Order: sequence, then structure tokens, then C-alpha cells
Amino acid sequence: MDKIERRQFLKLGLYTTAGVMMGSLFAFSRTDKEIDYKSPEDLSKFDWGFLVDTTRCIGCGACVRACKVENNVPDSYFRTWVERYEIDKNGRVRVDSPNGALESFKDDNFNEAEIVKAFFVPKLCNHCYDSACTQVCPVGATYESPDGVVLIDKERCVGCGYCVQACPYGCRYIDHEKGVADKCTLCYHRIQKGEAPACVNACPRAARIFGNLKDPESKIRKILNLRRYGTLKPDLGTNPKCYYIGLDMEVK
Amino acid sequence: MQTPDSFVFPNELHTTWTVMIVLYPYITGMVAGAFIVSSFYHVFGMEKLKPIAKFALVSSLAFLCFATVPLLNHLGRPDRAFNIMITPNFNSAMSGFGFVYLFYMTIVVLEIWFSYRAELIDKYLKSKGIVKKIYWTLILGNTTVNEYTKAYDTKIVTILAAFGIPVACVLHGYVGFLFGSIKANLWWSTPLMFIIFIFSAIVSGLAVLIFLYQFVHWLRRKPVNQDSYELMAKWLWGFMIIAVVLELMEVLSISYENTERWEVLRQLINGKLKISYVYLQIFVFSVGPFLILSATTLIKSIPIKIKNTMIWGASMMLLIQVLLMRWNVVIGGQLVSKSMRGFTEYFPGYFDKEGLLVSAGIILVPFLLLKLFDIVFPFFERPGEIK
Amino acid sequence: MLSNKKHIILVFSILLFLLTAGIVVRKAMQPDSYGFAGNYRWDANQEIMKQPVLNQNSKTCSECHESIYNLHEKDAHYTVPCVDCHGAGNVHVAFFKGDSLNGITKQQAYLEKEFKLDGCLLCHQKLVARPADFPQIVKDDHYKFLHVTDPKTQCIQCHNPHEPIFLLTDVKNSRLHPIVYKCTECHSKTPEKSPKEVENHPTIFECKDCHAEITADFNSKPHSKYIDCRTCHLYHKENETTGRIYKNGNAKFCLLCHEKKSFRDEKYPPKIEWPNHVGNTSIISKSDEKICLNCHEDKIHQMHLSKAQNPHSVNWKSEHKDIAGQSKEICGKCHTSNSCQNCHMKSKPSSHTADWKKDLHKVSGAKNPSSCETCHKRNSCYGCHKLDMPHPKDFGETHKELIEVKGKELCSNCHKEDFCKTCH
Repeated sequence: MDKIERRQFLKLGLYTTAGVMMGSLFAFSRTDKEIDYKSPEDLSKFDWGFLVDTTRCIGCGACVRACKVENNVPDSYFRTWVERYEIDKNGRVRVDSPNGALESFKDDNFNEAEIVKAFFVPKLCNHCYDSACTQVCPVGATYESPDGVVLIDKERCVGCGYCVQACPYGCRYIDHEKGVADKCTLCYHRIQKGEAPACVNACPRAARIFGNLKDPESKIRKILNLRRYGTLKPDLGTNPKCYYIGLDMEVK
Repeated sequence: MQTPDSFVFPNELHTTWTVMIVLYPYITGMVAGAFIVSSFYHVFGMEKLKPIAKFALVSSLAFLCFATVPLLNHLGRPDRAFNIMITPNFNSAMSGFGFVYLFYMTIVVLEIWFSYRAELIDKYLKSKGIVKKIYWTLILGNTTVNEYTKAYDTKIVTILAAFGIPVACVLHGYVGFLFGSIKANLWWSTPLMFIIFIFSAIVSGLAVLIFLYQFVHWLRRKPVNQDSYELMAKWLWGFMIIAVVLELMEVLSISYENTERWEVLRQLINGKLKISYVYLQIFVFSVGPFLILSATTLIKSIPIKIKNTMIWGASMMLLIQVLLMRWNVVIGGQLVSKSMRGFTEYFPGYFDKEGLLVSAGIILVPFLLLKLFDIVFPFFERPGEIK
Repeated sequence: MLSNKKHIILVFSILLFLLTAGIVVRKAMQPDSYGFAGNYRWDANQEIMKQPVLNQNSKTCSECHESIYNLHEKDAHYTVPCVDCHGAGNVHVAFFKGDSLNGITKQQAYLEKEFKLDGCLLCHQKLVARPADFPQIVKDDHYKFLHVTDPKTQCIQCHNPHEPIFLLTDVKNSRLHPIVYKCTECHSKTPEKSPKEVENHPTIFECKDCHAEITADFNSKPHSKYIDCRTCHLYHKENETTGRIYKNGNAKFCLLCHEKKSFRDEKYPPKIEWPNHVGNTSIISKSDEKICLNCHEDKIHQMHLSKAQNPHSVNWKSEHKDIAGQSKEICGKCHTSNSCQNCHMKSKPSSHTADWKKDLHKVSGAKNPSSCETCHKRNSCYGCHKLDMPHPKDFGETHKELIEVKGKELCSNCHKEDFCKTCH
């Protein structure tokens, strides 16, 4: 099967899903599970955190595809994406993320024998405790919910793009159709209904772990107590809440 | 283009802040600069600058009216622009923008109103029909004018101008702060940023005044007031030295610290910004005007006509220098990937919503407005009034 | 005098008026719920929650497709959620849950199936960046290895995506096993020296280190020329110290290579017609999954570990406490220091709360006595209860004797005094 055919197949699949989804979006609000609207005090019993085990990630891009469909993310923008790091024996580092790994990765960039180390790093909004984007939003459209998720009020956002500049992780974008900023919500609509975020739901390797950091019995807490982890760009003082197992110094 | 060893985050392929955000600090720079020049006369009593004080004030207003246009054109939802005053988040450096802008606008309008009151009343008395109605509205129906009111007006103008200087500095230094406080951006994040912005604002303000002053007088075939013209040239010379040195010192200190950050910025300066920053902004449009202005200031024997042309040329070059500086800061900063592994591309496009044609329009409209203002608020003395 | 200041007063009163008007308008324009929980519109939080859920949970799929779900849970793809191959599935679920009123056609409700080669290669394309223990192929090499002649062959022609490798044991019951490395997981080529010959080489366990007898046997058999241990005993790294090893001897697994199919080389490796090869098809229906091994065991390796070869006895789970308690160094010979934590995340399981001893443990103890045996010895109930717990089935008949011997007080440990009256 040649390259074009492969791409067409993928595109077709993606578009059909998206098309079917869009055509009947309105229909599903009724079939949804009941939402339990909690007061801010009740919500503050939760502190949603995220953990990425990079040693388990296979870079299949299922998370990226699931996220695109779930949140109707515009083309060429990403709420989550997967990066590949390849280091060869001369110490050269090659990083890539073709189309955010929406269609996974095709070939190694270096000659296979030359590569000494290679791994995938999924990225998404870090939902920082001291998020730079919340700090700079001039109209109070970006906020941290009581349960610790950084969200955007799309009814108030003016689309100035200041938050996009302020995010050190490149997790935000301006949705030009709606003219407002957008980013990962940790699938807030799912987690409030007891479902895992779409990317966690789609991960075939349990490389993405999601849970309540305030609950000492949660899986994420237990793993964080057990494993050694890091965060991205800790020197910027944003205190990310997305933890990474198996980070390399090359990952920025 | 992406080289094999470079990488940018997928969301960074689109430049968020376009050439519109280049124009905004450029225009406010001229606002703040022109206002400060007018205050030299009003507050510090530099009599030599009297001939251009009013002109400076009115041009400040003309630019101020258009300062928000590029911003509104850039906003994703311009219809919600007032959210910034309805529900401001005061943790944000940007949230005060609406208030500072409005406060400054009030000061400039009041100052103009008080300085032109006597002339407006005079025009009201001489005009007829609808024009008279308009003037009546402008003077708020009050026609009292005598020695006392003039004294009061001058006093208020002085107070307003004194208030205005810090506000002008805040308005523009604040734009610098907007950039300088973004820790995520390697090229912007420096405490020097707002100082550089204030000085470059004064440079652009002085430059645009010199440029227009000479230009208008050529059109009207009248000689400029040589004293104030040369004084402004001297000031321009001084401020451009400070501004350019600060700009270079910033890069120097980053390069001398030689952190990981310099490793990336070095590539930026030697790569994407080589032409617009190194060659144009520094060598042609900074060193060039510096040499010209040094000559006009230090060498007394240059004939006046040539000297004035040289000053005018230098002021035009400095206007371009400041525009380049805004471009290199705003666009240059966004070219650097936050992954520290590569650079993006940006070209505004010619006919896009935020393209070059619209930009040219936005820059030119304040000048046309200024022409319109001249009818209502004449900046220069009428032919008969020249001493 | 005042008349000379009149215009000043006028201007500033207009300003004051505008300012007041501004403040009033601003207040009126602020959204109702603004500032309720912080410097934002609280209603926005509710609005975001209303976004419909599209990607379905595999549990939802299992409500209707139970048999496929169970099959899928059993085999190596058990961690792969349905959405990865079938798409979000929200339309499908809405339609078949009887919400056909909202205008979805059956056409729209049809699910995507990414069982084609490219769909599989999204995960299984060989990439250096993929963890080495993850099964991945270079298409050409894989086809060459299996002597597939038709290059258009799709994965699904051999592998059932719901049951890709036909594991013999349920994947979740597969053995936890210390990590076994292949040389090629670190080295790009298979080194000539064995790790033991290299100075300061990190400790490496290979299959033959513990299972020498079987590996030796296997090496003497024809299979050893073409496949290695891991071809059948798939190994799946679970974390830094342990993984799971899958037993395999399922007939369907053997057929992956040995069944005669149109797209395969006819002769090599040896092919059979299935199920004609067996002759009597009724044997197959007896669900004897190891049917191939019944005859061909000798072609592979001996199937039973002799006592000396298996480091741990059958009851190891319950017995290891004593040995590990004496000295952890013994464990350290094979296991890394934090292996214990894989099961013993804490000193005590979270379920063992303050009420555990008093009431709670009897419920789960009765339901699943073997769960206690993870840590406790089989007879540890005896320590407190002085009798076998939970009560054996015939306790109704036998308890009379027991009470005669041990006295009524024994019952009152758990039961109230008038408990006997409920029957007697």
C-alpha cells in the first residue's frame, strides 16, 4: 500500500467520524449522563492531576485522534500531541511531531543503528498550579476551577492571544473560527460525569494516568509516591500538575 | 523552513501576534513621545519649543485615536473589547490597559480643550449656521473669555501636562512591560524591556514631530522656526543614543551571561533576524541617523537648508528604526520556539485582514486625521501672526 | 470671579457624570455569576460541563457486546480500548440505545473498523522510539519471517484484533515475572560476549539463567533455529522491575504459522489444512486449546518444570513471607529492591481500616478467602478464631462436636449470646 493511499484512508476515517459526529452533535445532550453540579466547596475536594509515563508510550497517536474528535479541535491545532526524541551516537538530537502524531510516526529519522536512545513524550496542558496563562488573561476568561483545572470561559474571552504568548509549553492556540483561545480542559465535561479524559480513555498502554491528587488512595497518588517523576520547565515557577515519568533533559 | 534538527511545538506553527501588534506599540510610542515633547514646553517651560507645543499635543491626540484600531482588528472577538473594563483580572499586566488608555485620553482631550478654548470661542463668534452649532457644542456653550480665564486655563494645562508625563510613560512603558513580563518568551523576558520602550517612544515621538513639522512647512512654503527645530534635533540625537545603547546593552548582557537562552537567541539574531535586526535596525537605521545627527549638532558650518534636510532625513530614518525595532521585538520573539529547538516563519500577507495593506492604512490614517484636526485646532500661527 | 471658573467647573462636572455613568454601566454589564467563586464567571464552569461525551468507555460497549468484550479482555489487546479502532462510537450508542428519534440513520450509526494494515501499524510499526518490549514489526520482515507471499495480505487475515495472539492463559492471570532483557534491547547488535564475561555489566537475566533445563531442551529441537523463547512466551514489561510473561501453546497460536493459507508460502514452514489435519473434528469442539501439543510436544520443549528448576513452589505466594522476612538479600539475587512494592504498596492494604479487624474483614474474607492468602497464611484465621474460617460447608452438622470440645465462648467471639436461639 503506498503512501497516498494510506493517508487517504486515515483522512477518510477521520473525516467520516468527524462528519458523523458533527451532524448529530445536538442529538446527544439528552443521552448524556446526568451532570452532578457541585458547589465550589465540594469541587475543591478534588485536585485533578495528570501523569504521563513516557517509558510506556508507544507513540501511536490514539490520544491525539481521540482528543480531536472529542473536542472538535481545529485542523493543525492540538490540545495534546506526541513528540518523538531520537538521539544518535554523535549526540545529535532530533525531535519531531509530524502533525502532532495524529497519524502516528512513519519511520525513524536516523539510521536505526545510529540511534542510541529514543522515546516518545506526550504533551498536553499542564494545568499548572501557578499558571502563567491564568495570570495574564486580562478579562478573567481563563481561570482555575475549584477542582484545579485551568479552563477558558469562551463567552468572555476576547481572543487577544496574550495567554498563548504566556504559556511556556505551547499548549494554547487561538481558535480562529470562534475567535477565542482554546486548550485542553482535561475533558472537564467527561470527568464531571465520572469518565476519564478522552486521551486517557484512548491510551492503549496506560501511559496516561489521571486522578485526584487530594485522594491518597487514587492511582495517580500511589504511582507518584512510588516512582521518580519530573515536570516540564520547573524553573519557570509555573508548578505544573502534569507529571512525567522518565523525563530526559532534552525534553523541554 | 524546518531543518532536520529543529523542532517547534505543533501549535506554534501559527504566529499569534501579527503585524497589528507591531503597529500598536509603534503608534502609542508616537503618542507618548509627542505628548512628552509638548510637556517640555508646558511643564518645564522650554520657550524654544513653544511653536510646536500645540502641534505636538494635537498629533498626540490624532495618534491616540487610532492606537486601538490595530488592537481591535487583531482581537478574535472585538465585540467583547469592553470586557477588559467590565471584568478585568488585575493579576494580568494587560488588564489595566483600558483604564490607562482612557485616563490618558481624558488628559489629552482636556489639555487640548483648555489650550484651544480661546481660539474656539473666537471661531464660534465668527462662524454661522451648522458650523456655529458645532463650535457651540465644542465650547460647551460657555463663551466667557478674559485675562482671568486664560490664566486659569494655562494653569490647568500645566497641571494636566504634569500629570500626563507619568501617564504617558506608564501607557508606553506598560506596553514594554506586557512583553518584558512574559517569562515564556526568551527574547522578550527582560526587565529592561519597558525602559527601552519608553526611550524608543520618545525617539519616535520626536522623530515624527520633526518629520511632520518640516514636511508641513515645505508644503506651505514657509521656513521652520530654526531654534525649536534644531533643539528638537538635539533632543532626538540624545534620546536616540540612549535608546539604541539600551537596546544593544540588553543583547550584550544576555550574550555575556551566555546561558542556554543565548544559545537560542544567537541563532535568532544570526538567522531569522539578521537582515531586519542586525543590518537594518542597527547598522542602517541606528548608526546612520546617529552619524547624521552628530554632524548637524556638532558641525556649525553646515548651510541651514542642507542641515534641515539632513535632520529631516534622520528623523525619517529613526521612524523606520523604531518600526523595525517593534517588528523585531514582537515578531522576533514569536519566531523562537518555546521548545528552544527551532524557529517559525512569519509573513503577514499583502491583502489579509491583518496584512500589509491594512497596516499601511492604519499608519496613514492618523496623518489624515491630523490634517483634519488642523482645521479645528490650528497648530501653527496663521501667516499674519508670524512675528 | 466665579463666572471665570464656570467653564472649568462645567467640564469637570461632565467628567464626573461620565465617570459615575461608567461605573453604573460597568456594574450592570458584569455577568451575574461573576466573582461567585473567583475572578471569573461561575456559570462558565457549568457550561463547560455540558459538552457532550463522545468517546465511549469500553464498559459501555461491553453492555451489548459482552462476548467480544470478554474475548478482548482475555488476550493481549486487553488494554486497548474499543475507541482506538472503532472510533468515538457516540452515534452508534445513541442509536442502539433507542434514541433513534433524534434522526440518526442506521448508516451513521455504523462503526468504523480500523483493522486494516495501516490501522494496526499505527501502534505496531517498528520504531526505535517504541519501547523494545512492545510487539512491533517491519512489514516486510514480518512477512518474510512468516513466509507470506502475497504482499497485500492484511493483518486481520491471521490475527483477530480482539484476540491477536490467542493467549493460552487469561492475560490478567499471566505470571508476574522479574524483568528479562534481551541483549538487543540495549545493544544495537547481538554482542558476541555474554554479559557475564563483561566487567561491570549490569545484572541481566536471560531465560536460561533460571530455566536451563528447558532452554537446553528447546535448543536441541528444530524450532530453536527459527524462533526464540519470546516468540511464544510474549513478554510484557509492566514497570521497572517486573513484567508479565504469557504462556503460549494454544492451537490457534500454532496455526498463526502453520495453517495453510492462500497468501502464504505453501511449503515453508510446514503447513497443515485446518481442521482436516485433526481428522476427527469433534476433538476440537471439546475446547482443548492445547490440542497441538497433545501430539507435537516433543517438537518444542519439555512442558513441565522440574522442581529443581522452578525457583518458587506452588504455594509461594503465601509462603514467601517467612523467607523474605528473614532476609531480603535472598530476593535481591533476582529481584530489584523495590519489587516487593509491586504487591505491597504499603505496609497494610488500604482496605484494612480501623474497623477491619472487628467487622469488615469477614465480608471479603467469606467472599474470597484466597485474597487473604496474598499476605496471610492459610491458617492465620485460626490464630484468633480457633477454628477454620469461614465456616466449612458442613459446619451445620459438625459444630455440635466442636462446641462440646471447645466451649460456647468460642461462638461469642463473633456471635451474640442469643445467636443459638435463632435455630435452637
